[in-house]
Amino acid sequence: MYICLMYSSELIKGTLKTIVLTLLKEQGRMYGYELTQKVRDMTDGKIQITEGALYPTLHALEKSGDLETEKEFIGKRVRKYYKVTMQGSATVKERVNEFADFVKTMQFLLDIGPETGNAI
Amino acid sequence: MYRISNNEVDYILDDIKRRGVELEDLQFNLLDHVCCIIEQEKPDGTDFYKFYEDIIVRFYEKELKEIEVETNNLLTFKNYYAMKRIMKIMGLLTALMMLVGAIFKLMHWQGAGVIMISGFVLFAVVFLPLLVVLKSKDSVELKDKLLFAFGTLIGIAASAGVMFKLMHWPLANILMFSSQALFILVYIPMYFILKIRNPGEKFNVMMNSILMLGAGALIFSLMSVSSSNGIDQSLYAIDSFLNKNVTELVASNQRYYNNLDDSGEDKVRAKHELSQQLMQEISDINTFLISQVEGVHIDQARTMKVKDLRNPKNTFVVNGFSGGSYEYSLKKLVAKVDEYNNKVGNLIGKPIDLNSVQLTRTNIALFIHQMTQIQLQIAVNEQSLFMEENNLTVLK
Repeated sequence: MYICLMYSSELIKGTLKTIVLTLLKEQGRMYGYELTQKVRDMTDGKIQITEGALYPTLHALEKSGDLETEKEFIGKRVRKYYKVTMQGSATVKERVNEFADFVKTMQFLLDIGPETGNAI
Repeated sequence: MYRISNNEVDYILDDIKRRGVELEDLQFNLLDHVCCIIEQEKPDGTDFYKFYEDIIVRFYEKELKEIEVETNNLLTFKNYYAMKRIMKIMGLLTALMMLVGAIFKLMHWQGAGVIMISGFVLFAVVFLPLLVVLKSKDSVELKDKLLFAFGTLIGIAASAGVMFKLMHWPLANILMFSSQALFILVYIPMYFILKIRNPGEKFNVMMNSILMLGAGALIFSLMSVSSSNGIDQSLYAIDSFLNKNVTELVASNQRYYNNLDDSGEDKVRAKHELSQQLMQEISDINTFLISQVEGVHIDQARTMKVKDLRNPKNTFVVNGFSGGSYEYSLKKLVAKVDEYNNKVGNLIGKPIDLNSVQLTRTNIALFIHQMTQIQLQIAVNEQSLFMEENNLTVLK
């Protein structure tokens, strides 16, 4: 039920929070459906966030104080817009740095280089 | 773009609720999401209800409620990493505290009890429960969770037992024995049977079971470590020997009283009564404590000697003696001994010195033994008294 299309879900499972936080920081405020569309468009459909993974994550981030919400009524339904808080901004930085470091380590560990190594 | 009607919005919301999503926030999020998909993606001419049924399945694997369960999981385990950190720190801290406490205890340094109790309490109340909660999140299968929870309960009982034993509190042996028995007879077989089915872990499971069995047996054998049987026997022998001497001396004193003429009896009557009272007082206290330790009637306790005790090492009742009811208390004994010393003991220069015996912080066998020693002194003092009355040489 997690994010995936091209990549295995194990590969992306741990990065959902980072993706959501980063997007919201860049875009200002977004609602759930908008987020899934944005990710799909930006990655040419390689990563698709499923609803089953997105909403639990959004709720958790809201509870931990990284996100805040604004409600808007559209006819009979309510739309929740999500926005990064001050604390969330710091979390984004932390998470992105951590992930960049992870990528670097993996590059070294798996010997992925432009000239030699395992990469095709 | 399809325009969704109010009735259709109501229909979707009702369906989401019907499928078991109870969090209002989540209901509205899902409602808006579904509406967006329908508005954006529904091809013209298709039936609304048919299209809704087609897209709602994208939200879950088995049922829609999964999203709520997952949300709750994430909210509950928001502090997962903090809990994990606390658990690691607590584990290290409690292990160190137990180690340091054990060293203090061995060296008889001050504060050993406080350090050890804090260590065991934190271990049993903070570390082990955290371990269960975090571990049960990691393991998927219910049987693993149950096995782990059961093991942890045994761990809590066992550490409570060890702590009680070290602090000489009651029920220590029951706690230690039952947790040991559960561990060896129930937990290890359960672990073996449940885990051995996993072909990948067969060797590990066998080794773990053998190691646990070995450790269990080792701890079990340590439970019976105490002072050797020979030393216990020699204490009982000394006690019987002493009792015999006291009895004989009392009897010979009594013969002397019987032979006294009226005038002599008047002179020593008061002193004799005081001696008798204190003798009786000591016997009563012994009888009372024995009946408490052994859980028997006073009449039965009166006939019991140290060698008859089933729990000669019991310390709890003796320690309670200093703070119990006045009738059988250290306070009353001290008062009686003072009265005796003033009227008898000091006259012949042989007062009973309670400071030279240790009647608290000891076990029932040693307590009674010391009380018998005091009775011996009373009997000896009485004999000295007669000698003095008859102008014989008194050994001072």
